[in-house]
Amino acid sequence: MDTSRQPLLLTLRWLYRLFKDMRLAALVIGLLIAMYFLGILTPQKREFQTRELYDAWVDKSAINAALDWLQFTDIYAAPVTVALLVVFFITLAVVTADRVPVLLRRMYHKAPPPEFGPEDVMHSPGAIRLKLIGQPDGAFEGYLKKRWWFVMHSSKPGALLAVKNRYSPVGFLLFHLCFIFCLLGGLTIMYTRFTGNLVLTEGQPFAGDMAQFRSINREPKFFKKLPSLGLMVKDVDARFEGNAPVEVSANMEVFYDGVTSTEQVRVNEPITRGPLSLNLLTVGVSPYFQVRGPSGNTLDAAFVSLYVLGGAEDSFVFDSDPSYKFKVKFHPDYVPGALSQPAASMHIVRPAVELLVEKGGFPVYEGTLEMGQFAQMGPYSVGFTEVRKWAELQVIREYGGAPLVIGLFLGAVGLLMRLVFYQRTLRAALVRDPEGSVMIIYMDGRSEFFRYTFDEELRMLAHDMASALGAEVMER
Amino acid sequence: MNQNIEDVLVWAAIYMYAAASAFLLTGFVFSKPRPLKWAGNLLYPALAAQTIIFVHRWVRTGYFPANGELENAITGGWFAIAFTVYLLVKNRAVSGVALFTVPATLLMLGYGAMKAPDPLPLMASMKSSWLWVHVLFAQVAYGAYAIASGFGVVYLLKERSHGREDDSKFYDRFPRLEVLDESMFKFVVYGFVSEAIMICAGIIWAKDLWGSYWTWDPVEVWTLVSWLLYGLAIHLRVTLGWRGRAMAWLMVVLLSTVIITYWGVDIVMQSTRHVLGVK
Repeated sequence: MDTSRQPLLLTLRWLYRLFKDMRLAALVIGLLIAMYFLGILTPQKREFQTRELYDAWVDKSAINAALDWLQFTDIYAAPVTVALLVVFFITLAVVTADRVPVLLRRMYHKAPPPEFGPEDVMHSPGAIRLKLIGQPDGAFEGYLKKRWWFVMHSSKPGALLAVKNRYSPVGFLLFHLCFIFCLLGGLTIMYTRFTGNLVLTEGQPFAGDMAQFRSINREPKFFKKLPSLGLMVKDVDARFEGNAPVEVSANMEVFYDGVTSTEQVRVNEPITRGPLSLNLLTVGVSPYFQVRGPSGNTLDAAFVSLYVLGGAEDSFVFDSDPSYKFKVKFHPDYVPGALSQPAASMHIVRPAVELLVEKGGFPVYEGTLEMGQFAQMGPYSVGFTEVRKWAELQVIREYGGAPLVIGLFLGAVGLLMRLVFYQRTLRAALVRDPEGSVMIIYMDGRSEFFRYTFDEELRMLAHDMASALGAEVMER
Repeated sequence: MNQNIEDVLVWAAIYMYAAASAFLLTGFVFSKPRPLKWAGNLLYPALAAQTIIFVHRWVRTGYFPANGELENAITGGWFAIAFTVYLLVKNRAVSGVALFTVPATLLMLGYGAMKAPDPLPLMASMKSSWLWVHVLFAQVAYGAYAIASGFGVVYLLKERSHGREDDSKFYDRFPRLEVLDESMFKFVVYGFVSEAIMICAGIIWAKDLWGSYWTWDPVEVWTLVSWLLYGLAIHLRVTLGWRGRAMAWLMVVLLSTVIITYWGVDIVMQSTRHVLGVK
């Protein structure tokens, strides 16, 4: 053997032993749980509304700066977390590979015949006896096989071993594979995910201009190029019961991969195209506000997307003069003179806004304006002449969903196989009387996890067997 | 009229659970078997009342009852009590598990009845076929964990009674320690598998609703922590042979993770998207 390769082999063996050690797995799991706990306690970057607020928080103390440096403020994607996940991934792979021979043995794969004899079962303290009259030799075995028991004959005549759920140990493999698939899927999603929130008013097109996004929440590290996407919201609808939105939808034109289609997107029912999905987050109203000068000429005008449903107040400023702040509540069906409340509705009948205009923190106008009415503020007047609706869409592009879902499926199947359909083994001795018409069957057995309660299961099995084979269960 | 029927049944169930809880407590504190029997007898009509409320509410609203505190209490408590009644029917000797499930259901129902007794409109975000899969398996899991804790308590009490003549006689009616231990483990396994299915269903639903499979929301994190800890408990038993007292204590302590997930996060933390009650 080439001696120069020995240190490498020794290192590999050492690494293999290290990664299959359950203590390492426990340590990594413990550290991951600790990291996730820390994620609950530590303020996370995404919780800050603006980058400036986050920077101010970081500058506040040395601890905050350290947390930022360690990227613990984005803890689930922090290098420490990712490194732990990678170690966990390797540990799982090694443990799974290491267990394969054991699992094959437990599944009785190419197993030699068992070596117990009829006497071993007959003298077992927990054995149950069954008396069969006039049944052929294969009746007992046939009964077991019909009920999915795997039967092996002993090397000694008159004894057999039966195994229920022979392949249950495969569940272990599937469960561990589940983690590997989920980790693969999760990491792929983490590095390829793009999410941005897009607010589109009815009739407003989107043709891929990134500046139109209200916010971009995550940018991918790989596969940065997004597929070409075009959108236009045709109409928006929402139905409320009390203050609860019970139906929210938007009809839209979607241009993707050279094909244009008309689709409806609803809360819980996104539009999906390959790795891309469009989720409807919320909807609202966009009054067309105008600022007019002394001569009645329009100085500034825009559809302003307001978050005012449910009676909420929203505010905005015009770029042309940001010193004016407009605070708005919206009435879809205003009744003049009545004490109407801002309604949680999208059913627009007679729209009006409760308007409070401030300049330098002081109110300069307060009142209610119906559509077409203008409020006078010195030389300027402000009002709205049209109302449209808007939809806020979350645009997502990510890869890795398929391995994740496959992983979840494998995990669920693995758990069911391992913990619900666990193995039961039965030892049986078949003894015929000298005339050959009566056969006594002695049975004992065990189940993988439940030693004591298996007695009851064995008794039930014996009674079922007795009724199926026309046998008699004899007292112990 | 519909609401009146529900109100009457909800309060009837609450009173029956209150009485059953008092009987259970009396039985265990004074080591008297008769109050345990009375408590067991009260559970049948209480479960029947709760079943009628569950079905009636579902028919009335047209959706799986999982909207607001009362509906969550009706559904969640139903599984806990159904498991208890099933065990009682199978083996009257295990009535002790009710010591945990009955007072818990009483508190849940009482809280729900005070907080949001009337049916609420089902928000668009809740209108998904995944709702009932997700909620159903959550309730099965939490019910099973509660039963496992109940077995844990009975195990500890029975074990403690050894050597005390009066107590020992009282605790003789419960199954052997080994059987209690295995029964505890069976319900942990049942809960663990159900919780896994609940998490899978939630992950798939979250993608459609929020655009992400997993968002590290506090409820998600606590569910994961709870599931991992129960998984660890299973591992400790299967691979390291943890049994008996250690396992029983673990079951009692681990139920706190379910309580934190179910109520703690929702009540204490405002940042969760999982609104189990009504805000």
